[in-house]
Amino acid sequence: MMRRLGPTTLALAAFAALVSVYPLVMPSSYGVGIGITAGAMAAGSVGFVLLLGYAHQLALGQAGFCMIGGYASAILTVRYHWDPVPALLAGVVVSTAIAWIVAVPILKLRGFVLAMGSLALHLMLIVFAYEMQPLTGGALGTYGVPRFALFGFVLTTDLAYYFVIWGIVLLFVAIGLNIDRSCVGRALKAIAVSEVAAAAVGIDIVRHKVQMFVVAAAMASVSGSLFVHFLRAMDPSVFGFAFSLNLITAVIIGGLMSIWGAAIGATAVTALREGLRGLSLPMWESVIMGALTVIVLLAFPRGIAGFIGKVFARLSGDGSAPRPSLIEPVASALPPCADRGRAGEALLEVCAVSRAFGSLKAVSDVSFTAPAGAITALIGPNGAGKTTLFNLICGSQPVDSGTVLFRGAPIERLLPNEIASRGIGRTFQNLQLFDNMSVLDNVMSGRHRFHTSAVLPVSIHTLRVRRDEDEASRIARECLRFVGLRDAETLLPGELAFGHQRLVEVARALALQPTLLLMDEPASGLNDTETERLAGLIARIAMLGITVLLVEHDMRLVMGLADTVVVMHHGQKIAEGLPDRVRADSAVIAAYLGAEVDERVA
Amino acid sequence: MGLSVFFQLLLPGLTTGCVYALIALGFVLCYSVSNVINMAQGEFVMLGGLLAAWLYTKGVPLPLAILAATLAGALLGAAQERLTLAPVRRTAQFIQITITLGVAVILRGLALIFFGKEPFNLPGFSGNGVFFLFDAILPVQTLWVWGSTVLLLLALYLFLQRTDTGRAVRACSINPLAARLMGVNADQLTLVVFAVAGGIGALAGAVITPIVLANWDAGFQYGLKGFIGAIMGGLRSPTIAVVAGLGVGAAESLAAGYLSSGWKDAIVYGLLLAFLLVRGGVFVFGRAGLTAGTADR
Repeated sequence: MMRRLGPTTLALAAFAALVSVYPLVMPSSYGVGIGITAGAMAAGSVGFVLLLGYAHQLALGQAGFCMIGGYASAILTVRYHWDPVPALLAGVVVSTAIAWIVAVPILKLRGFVLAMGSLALHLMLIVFAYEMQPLTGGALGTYGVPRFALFGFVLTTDLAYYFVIWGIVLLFVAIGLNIDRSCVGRALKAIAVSEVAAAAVGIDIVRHKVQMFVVAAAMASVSGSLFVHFLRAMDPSVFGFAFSLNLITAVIIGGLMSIWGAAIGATAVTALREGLRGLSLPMWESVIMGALTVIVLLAFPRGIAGFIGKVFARLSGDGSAPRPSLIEPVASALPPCADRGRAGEALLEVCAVSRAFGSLKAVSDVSFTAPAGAITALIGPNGAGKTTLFNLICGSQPVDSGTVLFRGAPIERLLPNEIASRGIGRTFQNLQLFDNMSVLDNVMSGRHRFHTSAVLPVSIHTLRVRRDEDEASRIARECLRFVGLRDAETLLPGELAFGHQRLVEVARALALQPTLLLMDEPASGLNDTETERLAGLIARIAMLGITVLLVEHDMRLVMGLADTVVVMHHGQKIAEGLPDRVRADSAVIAAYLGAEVDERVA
Repeated sequence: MGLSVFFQLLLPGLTTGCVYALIALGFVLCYSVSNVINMAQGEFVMLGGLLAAWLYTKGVPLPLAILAATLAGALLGAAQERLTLAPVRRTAQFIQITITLGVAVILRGLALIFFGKEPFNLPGFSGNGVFFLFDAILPVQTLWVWGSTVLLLLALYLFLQRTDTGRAVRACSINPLAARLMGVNADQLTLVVFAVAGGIGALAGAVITPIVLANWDAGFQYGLKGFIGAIMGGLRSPTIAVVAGLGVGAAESLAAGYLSSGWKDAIVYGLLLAFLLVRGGVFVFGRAGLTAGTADR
C-alpha cells in the first residue's frame, strides 16, 4: 500500500509547488494568462485521457463539448445574468445528457465509429452556433462575459482565477486517479487487453466506455466554461477542430495511461503554442502538433508521464522483484460456496442446442444437465464440437436453436458479461489474463460483479467503494492462497511461468464466487505433475460446493475426477453417464479410435 | 420547373458524390487489409487538387500535372504506410488510427505553409463550356469527373477480381488470419492498398478542382463525408461504400438547394448521426463482434 501511496503524494507535492511557483516566475499578465489557458485546457485533458487512453475511444469532436460549456456560460451569464457557477453546471448537464444520448447507441456499434460520430456532432454544433444568431450571436459571438465568480464572490484578478482553475484541475485529477484505482479503472484496462476475458468476469464493455465518454464530456464542458470566463467572449471559432486536435496531442505527449500526464501534456501544448507564436511561426503549429503526435506514438507511447515514472522507478529502485512460488494450497482459504444449488438440482440444463457454421453442424441437438455440486466433464475427440458447445453456454456465440437453462432460467440470449454476473465463472483454453495489471489486480477484476461501478461513487471514492476495494483485495489474496500461489501478487502475469498463469486464471474465476465454474481444457499445456496438481485443485473447488463443468480431452484428468461424463462426437452427444460406464461404451471407443474399429469390434 | 430544379441540384451533387465515393472506397480498401481507418484519406484529395493546380500555374502541361499529382498521392500513401504504420503494426488499433490522424494534420499543415490560404483553380480539361442534361446546366468538366470515376471503379473492379494481388486483398478482408496462413503477404499488401488509395484520392482531387477549387483545409470534410459512405457499407463492402458516397453528395446538394446552404453540413452530419443512432439501437446483437474483434489479438 505504501508503495502506491508514495508516487501519488510526491506528484501532488510537485503539482502544488509548480502551480504556486509559476506566477512568481511569470508574474506578468501575459504569463498568468498562459497559466490560465494551460489550466483550462488541462481540465479538459484529464477527461480526455480517460476516454482516449483508458477507454481507447478516439473522439475527434471533443471540442464540441467545450463549445457547449462555453456557450452555456456565455449565454446564461450575459443574456440571463446567471452566476458563473450555475451556468457552468448547466453546461455540464447539457453536455453529459448529449454525450449519453449519442454514446449509448454508437458505442454498441464498436469499432471506431465514435471518432467520426463525435466529429459529426461537433461540426453540427458549429453550424448551429453560426446559424442560430439570436441565441449565440452568430459569427460575431457573444461578448461581455463577466469574470468568474465563486459563491457571489467575483475573482477580480487573473491571478485569483489562475489558482481557482488549477484547483479545479486538481479536483479533476483526483477524480481521474480515483477512477483509475477503482473497479472501473480495472475494467477499462481489462477491456483494453481482452474484451472476451473482460466480459467473462462480468464487465459490461459498452457501459464503461459510455461512462468515460460522459465523464470526458463533462470535463470538456467545464474546460470550455473556464476558457470563456478568461476570454470574456465566445464565438464559434474558439473551439474548432484544431482544439480537438490539440487535446489529442496533449494527452498523447503527456502519456496516454496517466491522469497526471494529461495536465502535463496540456501545459506542454500550451507552452509550445505560445512559443511558436513568440517565434511568429503560428503557421507551423499544425505540422508540429501532428508530427509530435506521430513521433510520440511511434517512439514513446507512454509519453512524458511514462518517462517520469521510469526515472522515478529507477531512483527508488528496490530492484528485488519477488519470486513467485507454489505453496501447499490452503483449502480453507475460501469459504464454501454460499449460493450452491440443492443437491441433485439440475443447475445447468442444456436442451436440444444446435449451432451450425454454414453447412457444418458443429453442435446438433445436444442435451445434458450438470447437477449441482458435481463435476461434469464434456469430452470428445478433436473437432467434436466441445468448444463450440462451451461457447454457446457462456454466451460468446449465439445458439441457432435450443435453450440453455441456469437454475431454471434461460441464459442463451444473454451477453457473456450478463451470464458471468449470474455467477457463472469461466477459464480459457488459451490463457486470457490482463497483461497490463498485476496478478492481484487480475484476480480482483473477478470481483467486478459485486462492486458499485457507477461513476459518481467511484469518482469520489466513497466509503462503500473503499470497503469494496478492501474486500476485493482480501478475497483475491484468499483465492491466490486457495490455488496455492505465493508472492505473485505484485508481478505482471507475463512474468509468471505458464502453469502459474493458469492458476491465476482459476483464481480470477473463483473471485467471482461462482455457483458454476466452466473450465475450457484446463490441462492443455500442462505437464504431468501440473495436471495432477490441477486435478487436486478442481476436486477442492468442487468440495466448496461449486458446480464444475469441464471441457477436456485429457482422459487421465477426466476419469479420476468427473462424476458424470458427457461424450460428444461430430457435434452430437453419443454417451452420458458414470466415467467407468462411458469408458466401456463401444460408441465412445469407436469415436476415439476410429469408425472401422467400431464395426469390427461390434 | 420543379423537376429541372431537382436535377440542377442532384447532378452536381452526384459529381461531388463521385469524390466521396472514391474516398469511401479508399477507406474500405485500407481497412479491409490493415484494420486501420486511414484518417488522412481526405487529405490526399486536397493535396491532389492543390498539387495539380500548382504545377499547372508553374507551366506544366495539364495532363502531366494531373499525372504527377496522382503519382505523388500514391507515393505519399506508400510513405505513410511504411514510415508510420509498418513499425507499429502489432500495437493497439486505436494507436494506429491516431497515428493516421497525426499524419492528416501534418499534411494539412504542410499544405497551408506551402500553398498558402488562397484556393487554387484549374481550367476545365476540355474547356470551360457547359452542357444540358435533364434541363440542368452542367460544366463540361462534370463529364470528366463522371468518366474518370467510372473508369477508376472499373479498373479497381478488374484489379480486385482478376489479379492475384486483388484476390489477396479480398481474401484479407474476409479472413485475415486464413489469408496469411495461405501465404498472403499482408505487409506488402497493406503497402499496395495505401498507395492505391492515395493515388485514387489525389486523382479525384485533381479532376474535381475545376469545379470546386482546391483548398488547403478541404481535406477533412472530404474525408468525413467519404467515411459516411464507407461506414454505411460496414467498412467492408466496396459496392455499398460507392453508392452511399454518391448518396451523400446528392443529399448534401439537395439539402443546400431546398433548405439552406448554411445548414447543409448540419443536415449531412445529422443524417450520419441518425444513421449511427438507429444502427446502434437496432444492433442488439453484439456477440458476434465480440469474438471476432479479439480473435486476432
